[in-house]
Amino acid sequence: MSADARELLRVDHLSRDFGTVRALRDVTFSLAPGEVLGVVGQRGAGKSTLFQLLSGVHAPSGGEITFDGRPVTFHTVSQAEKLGIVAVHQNPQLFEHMNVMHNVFMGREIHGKGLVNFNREGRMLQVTRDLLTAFDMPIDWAEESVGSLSDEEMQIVALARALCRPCRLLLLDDALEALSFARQELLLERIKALSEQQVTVILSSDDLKQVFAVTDRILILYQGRQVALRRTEDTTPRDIVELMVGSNRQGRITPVIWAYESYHEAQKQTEYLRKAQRELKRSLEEKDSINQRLIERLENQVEALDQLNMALQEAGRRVLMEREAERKALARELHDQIIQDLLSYNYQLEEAESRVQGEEQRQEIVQIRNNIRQVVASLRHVCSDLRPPTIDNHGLPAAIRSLISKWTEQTGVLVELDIDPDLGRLPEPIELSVFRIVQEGLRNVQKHAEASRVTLCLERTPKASLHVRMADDGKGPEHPVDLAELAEQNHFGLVGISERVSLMDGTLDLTCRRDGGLAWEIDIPSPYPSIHN
Amino acid sequence: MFLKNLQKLLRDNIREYGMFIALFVIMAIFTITTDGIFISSRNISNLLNQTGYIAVLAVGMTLVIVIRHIDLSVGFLAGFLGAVAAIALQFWGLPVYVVIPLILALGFIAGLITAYPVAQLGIPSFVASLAGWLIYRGLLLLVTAATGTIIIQDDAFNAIGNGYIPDVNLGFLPGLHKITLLLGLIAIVLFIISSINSRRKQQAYDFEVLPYDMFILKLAFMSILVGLITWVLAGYNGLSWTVVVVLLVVGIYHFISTQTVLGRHIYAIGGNPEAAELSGVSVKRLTFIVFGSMGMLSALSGMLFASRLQSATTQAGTLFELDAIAAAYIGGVSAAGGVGQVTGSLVGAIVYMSLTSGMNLMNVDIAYQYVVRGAVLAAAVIFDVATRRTGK
Repeated sequence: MSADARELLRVDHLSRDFGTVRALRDVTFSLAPGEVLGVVGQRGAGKSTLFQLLSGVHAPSGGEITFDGRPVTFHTVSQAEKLGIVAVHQNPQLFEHMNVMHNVFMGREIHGKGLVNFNREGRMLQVTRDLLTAFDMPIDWAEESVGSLSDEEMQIVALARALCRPCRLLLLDDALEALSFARQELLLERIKALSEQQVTVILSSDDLKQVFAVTDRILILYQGRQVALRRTEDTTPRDIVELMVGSNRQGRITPVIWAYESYHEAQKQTEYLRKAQRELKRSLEEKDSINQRLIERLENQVEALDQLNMALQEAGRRVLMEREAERKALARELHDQIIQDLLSYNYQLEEAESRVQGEEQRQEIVQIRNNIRQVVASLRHVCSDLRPPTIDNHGLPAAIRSLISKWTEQTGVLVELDIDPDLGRLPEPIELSVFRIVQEGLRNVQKHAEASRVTLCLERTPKASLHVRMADDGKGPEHPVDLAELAEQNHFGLVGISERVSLMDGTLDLTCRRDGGLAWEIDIPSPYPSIHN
Repeated sequence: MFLKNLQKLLRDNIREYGMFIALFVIMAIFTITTDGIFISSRNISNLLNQTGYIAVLAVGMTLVIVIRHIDLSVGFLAGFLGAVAAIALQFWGLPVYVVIPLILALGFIAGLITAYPVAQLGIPSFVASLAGWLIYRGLLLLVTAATGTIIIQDDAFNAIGNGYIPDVNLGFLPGLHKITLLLGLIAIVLFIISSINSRRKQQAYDFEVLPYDMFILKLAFMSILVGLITWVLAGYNGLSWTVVVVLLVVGIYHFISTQTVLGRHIYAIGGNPEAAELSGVSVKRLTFIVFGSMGMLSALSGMLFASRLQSATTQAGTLFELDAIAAAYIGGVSAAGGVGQVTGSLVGAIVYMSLTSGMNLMNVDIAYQYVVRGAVLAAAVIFDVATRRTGK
């Protein structure tokens, strides 16, 4: 009888059927005040049913519950709660239109004694805040509405509800799972403390480490039956898992025990990963913003460079145009002034010659006149170099033809010329530039190539407005062409060509032919594509 | 700052204050269209007396709707119990002080009977109370079959519906009801003191409280409202016994629903019956209590009506239940359960009866009156749904 005196709860052959399903059969155990019982079993083993029978959610179909020495039958939760039996169920149900404090104390109000049970909200709020602090939640959370809580927060409300008033038997049905690792530890500590205050606790958990950490005994259920009731210190997780799975076959147990043993670890890892993820997210956000700023700066710089480049090109174009204009003016000056003057001096000399009597003097004057004629001829040559006179009047093809015939005369190199008859007129700067490019190209051939044959081809293409191709059969460059290197060595021929091309927004393509010799092609887009005769 | 506080207060409590605003608008409109007759002391006094028996039902109906049920039987239950009261007074010769508790007890029992199929058997309250509606209508016809209308000749009983609280002649303020003014003044003082007290208590426990200026504004507003009503009533015959009864009922129910464990549990059941059951709240027990109180208030309503007419008629109580339900909904009770205040339903009843009274004064055809009342009810429920979606 002395054992009976220390007995708070006795369960005898407790059974429950749902229709034809036998959810729980013949569960028998007894608990002393302050004892902690762990209930383990796989899903569907009847854990939750046991908790529901003990907390009054369902009435048992068979068997007996004795609480505090008296047989009891619970039909409603309130009957159980009156005796000091409080349960936290899986998936707690809350009152969404009420705040946390009202949820915590629902059905367990602190109220004034007497005829009318009026609420003591102030006391309730204090207790709620204490409990929230114990679970590491902010205290102003007590007056939040519960409508938008996470699973963990809802579980905390449910736990706070169970803990807000003193109780004698605390039932925790899988109450730890939704909590974070740190809060699980807090709750386990709390269970130990309650046990010391003679509160009996029954808990179920899928985490055997937790079960072994706090329980005195472990009840193992398998398919609704009680298969064993062990003292925690006399057993091992492996035994428990064997009993839970209902087999000692290695193949079935290993995955389960592995799962149970690594559960703890996995949860810790999850927690850690979650934190790392949060931090990563934050640092990524920071990095993103830095990148964003860098990209912006880069864009600004590129834009500035672009503008500079444009300005430079414009300046180059203007320099070239001014040079051309100057040359033109110079040529006109030479032609209109100096050559005319020289010619008129020549006439004067001719007249003087007829007046001169002495043969010797006449010969001298003839000599002078010949010299003057030579000077005029060479001046004319300079003029046409400065400003090909044909280009203004007869256009690019004529100018090139005359240039080439002169050049062939001078150098003896044969030029194969192929000019598109539909070339038409182009804007003056372009025609001049092309002329200069051809001139430069020929000069290049003359200087370096030792070629015997040059082909030059000008044509209109649908893509670019003008395509120029020049090739020679000379010895070609010794190295692959590098414009920067050439510029450093003061060989400005090809460099000048490329500059002129780029000023016209064209493209230059240099190739060394396999049989020796150099070929280049340029494509020049027309600023006025419509100009076509 | 003041305007911001006011804005926040209005936004957060738009559901609560919405019907006060509606009441003011309706009263203002009728005052203008009737050249001030509507707001006259005599009419307001009559209006409140007419509201009495509907307001009492609306208070009970509030709690019934809060726990997600409905009670259609209350109209004819009121009529039937009014007739029983008349019979008890006239034919059985029972004194008033026996009849009133007796009828209230009968009403409570009738409520429990309605609750039985709802709580124990899970029958929808609509069906269960519809059965009650038919039964009580039959019983009313039965008890009045032999005599037809029963004239009540008990003065004490008739005073409940027609009498006014006595006055003393102090020799000043002639034409005004001094006791009424005094009671109004006491009410204002008590209201202010209790408000300050509860605010202090809440602050002591760090509850969120209204900002100071809003608190003052609310006190001033309520004081002026109570002051105006007592002033207007004092201009006629003073407080009627009906108004006293209604105020008592509203006061008691307001206290129970907001300050006690019972009230908390009633609102919990309305919010989430399953969770309430799991929290150790006995849904069955509370269903019995709520329906029982509804039955008792039906009895009170029946007696108020019989006393007002000084007779029990065969048609007493017709459509009371629908008026009470409409008043509750206009007063902000939510059809989804768990939300709604007793005081709101009182205002709802006044709004509802103001419509009737005002339109009668304007000689609006009864056909249009129904249309307008229906429109107001629809607007109130739409307002309720709309404000719930956006906020709380």
